[in-house]
Amino acid sequence: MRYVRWLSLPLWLAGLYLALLWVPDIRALGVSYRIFYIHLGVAWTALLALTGNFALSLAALLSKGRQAALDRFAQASAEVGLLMTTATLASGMLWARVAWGAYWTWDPRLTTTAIMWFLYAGYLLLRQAIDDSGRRRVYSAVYALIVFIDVPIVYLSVRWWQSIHPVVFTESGMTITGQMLFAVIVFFFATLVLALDLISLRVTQEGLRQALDERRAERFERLGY
Amino acid sequence: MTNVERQFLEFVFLAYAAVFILIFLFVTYVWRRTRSLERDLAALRDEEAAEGES
Repeated sequence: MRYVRWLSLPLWLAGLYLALLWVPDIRALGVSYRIFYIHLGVAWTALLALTGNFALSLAALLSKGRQAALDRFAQASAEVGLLMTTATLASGMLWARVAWGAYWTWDPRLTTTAIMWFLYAGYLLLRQAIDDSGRRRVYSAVYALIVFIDVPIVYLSVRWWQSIHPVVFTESGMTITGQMLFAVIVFFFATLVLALDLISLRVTQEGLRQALDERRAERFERLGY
Repeated sequence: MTNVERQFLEFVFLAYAAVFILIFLFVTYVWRRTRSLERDLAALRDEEAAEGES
């Protein structure tokens, strides 16, 4: 992971260059549509991180001996997913103000994304509320399996319902040029590498916290408290 | 540059800045917390070593 970390910076620099300078403007929205690149990068990464949370929670429930490690990864994925969802909502609201004239509309894509934010904030609150690590692991994994239903709904909402939110991949093909797609892909990989690094940092930190808790408990027991 | 063009640029700047600030705050929180845990663990090890010697 240490080596992957250093890949993030050149990818971000390349992504910024491509998105802000290399790709031409769109006539209707001028320079403002360039928000699209960072918005799409963080949005796709959020959906992937939360899908990772689902897979890791399922694995933690089914696993026999590695529940603690899988649970730590699931928690970190949810945290990074929530961070990326917050970034998606923030950049999306600013773009909406320019494109639609309002920061927020109750469009299906926006509404389902806001619901997703609250569901995963609830996941982290649930984890905070349970002291016993075994119960926390099982309850949060079951909760994660249930709330994941909203993640594919967020993706499909613009296809299922009438929406003013732009769509990149439609049945009749892509709605963006090859040049734009290249910039999108570079930005997506930049955010993905960063997300993986953040997940790895949080997992290491949680491992450290658990080691400290166990050592403290052992010491208290030894000293007869 | 027209007023509309300037407003477009401002919103691009705000959107990128918002994402960077969010990520920066998260990274800062994680690093500070890790440092604090490492310090606590080192202090605990020192205390245990001192107890072992006495």
